[in-house]
Amino acid sequence: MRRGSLSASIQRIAEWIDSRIGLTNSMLRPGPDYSLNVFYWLGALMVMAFILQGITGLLMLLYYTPTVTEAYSSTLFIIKYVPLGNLIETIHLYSAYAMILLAFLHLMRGYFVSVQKKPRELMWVVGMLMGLVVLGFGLTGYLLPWTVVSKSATDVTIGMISFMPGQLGPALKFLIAGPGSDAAELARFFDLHIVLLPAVFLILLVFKMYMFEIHGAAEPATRLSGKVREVPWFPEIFLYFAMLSAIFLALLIVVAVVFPISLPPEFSPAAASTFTPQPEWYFLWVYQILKFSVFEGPSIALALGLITALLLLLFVLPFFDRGKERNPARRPIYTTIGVIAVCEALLLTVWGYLTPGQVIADSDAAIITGGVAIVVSIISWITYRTRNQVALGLARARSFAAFMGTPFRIPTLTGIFVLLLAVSSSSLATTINLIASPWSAMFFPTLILAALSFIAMVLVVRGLAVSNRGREVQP
Amino acid sequence: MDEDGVRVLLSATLVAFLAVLAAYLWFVDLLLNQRQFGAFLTAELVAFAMLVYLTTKPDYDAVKKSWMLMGCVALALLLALPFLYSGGLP
Repeated sequence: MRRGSLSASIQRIAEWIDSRIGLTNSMLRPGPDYSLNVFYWLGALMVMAFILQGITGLLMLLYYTPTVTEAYSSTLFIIKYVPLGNLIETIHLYSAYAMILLAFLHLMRGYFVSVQKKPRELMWVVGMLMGLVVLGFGLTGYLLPWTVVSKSATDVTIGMISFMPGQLGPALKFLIAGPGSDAAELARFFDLHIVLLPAVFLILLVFKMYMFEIHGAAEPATRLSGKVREVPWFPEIFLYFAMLSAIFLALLIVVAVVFPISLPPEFSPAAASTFTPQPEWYFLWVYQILKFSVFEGPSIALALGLITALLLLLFVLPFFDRGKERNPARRPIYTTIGVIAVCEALLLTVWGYLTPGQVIADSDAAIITGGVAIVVSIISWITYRTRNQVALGLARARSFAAFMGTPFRIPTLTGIFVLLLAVSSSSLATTINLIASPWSAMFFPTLILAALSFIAMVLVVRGLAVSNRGREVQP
Repeated sequence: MDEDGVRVLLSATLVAFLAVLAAYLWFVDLLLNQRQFGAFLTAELVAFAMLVYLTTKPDYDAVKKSWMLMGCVALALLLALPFLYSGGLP
């Protein structure tokens, strides 16, 4: 077959498929040029990590046995004796970390540039739900190798959940961990990890993509003017995402190569008694808050209630932050709150990692967390103040420079102004000289002439200023 | 050689590198040399990203030379990485 007729045949097949599915009018339609930026693809990379999780997870399912007696040995078998088993297991773990990290970055980016504003409120809520599902993936997957580290950390987490107020705690504990035996707990976590959570994630993803198709990507928060250029889906957008995906996968695999997984000892009550449990890094901030002595004992329900309330606030953010301004430089309060939240989360995570099992005194907790909040607030206040002063100073300087240049551009008005200045000056001087004899014939005429010339000068200056207005905004 | 010629030469080199490495990966022992497989697979991905970057730019002037240099250094490091792990995995 000739080359021309082959490409024409492929083109015809593609057109036939597209006429039935309409992809070039929906998902594969051209996109705005500003979307060719890595921050617009954090969510897509997270989905990519999810797909990678699915593929590596399915491969591991070929060998993994979800029973208390065989979970550990089957995991060890994968790592030691299955071709590429260690690499696949490690990539599965690190892609889960990447998924959580990307979800967090996606959330932060969305918060700071206010993507949650009208009409994307429900996209935000669905995205938050997806974030919780991602954390659920982490929690349930962590237990499956049945090591002393994973089982002890999961027991701590389940213990925390059971402290939720009222009947909510026991009900959640039963739903997540089953009636109480180790076997039931492992089976429940396995089912949640490979069936329920992926299904919920996919449903939410479809819902979010549907809304994305309607509203599209949010414009940059700092975009002032200028025409948006549309770029075709193929090859520009497709190749850009292909490049990003290749770099993302490369980073993931190279980290897996350099830091391969090593399995801790198998769980047994004896091994667990010598081990201080600590959750995975993404739950360390919660763990650290619960170690504050003020939240010890029955007060743990208060801490969990506060954390739940914070999460709920984040969920409903689009419904009380309803202003139209999206530029973080013009939203000092929301931006400062966001920076404080990020700094506190990082601080609590590192602090929790460094102090496993250690109860934190209330005074230390108040000084350190409060200190971070105060320092961030002061830095933020100084930054915004300096920025506004600089902006105001620049605007004034620009306006003054433009105004000073105006008389040279409008000679007629400038000439009239100079003439009026001469008239007003001489008449004013005459008037002042006649103050000693106010009833002389010249006093009132020179006074009136001075006043009229001053009024005329004001009008001329106003005319110059008005003619200058269009130039003030130009840099 | 003109600048577009340089771009074509670079692209051809990357394609050849991708093909040779892919052929080599086919014969790597997947149980004993997992790290080597991972490092070379990463090199494939980096080379692919460089190739895409080269082909999406309208001309060679638009190609950031620092990115290309970083890619080449990354490729060299990735090819050298397996020699650091002579024992293989596990």
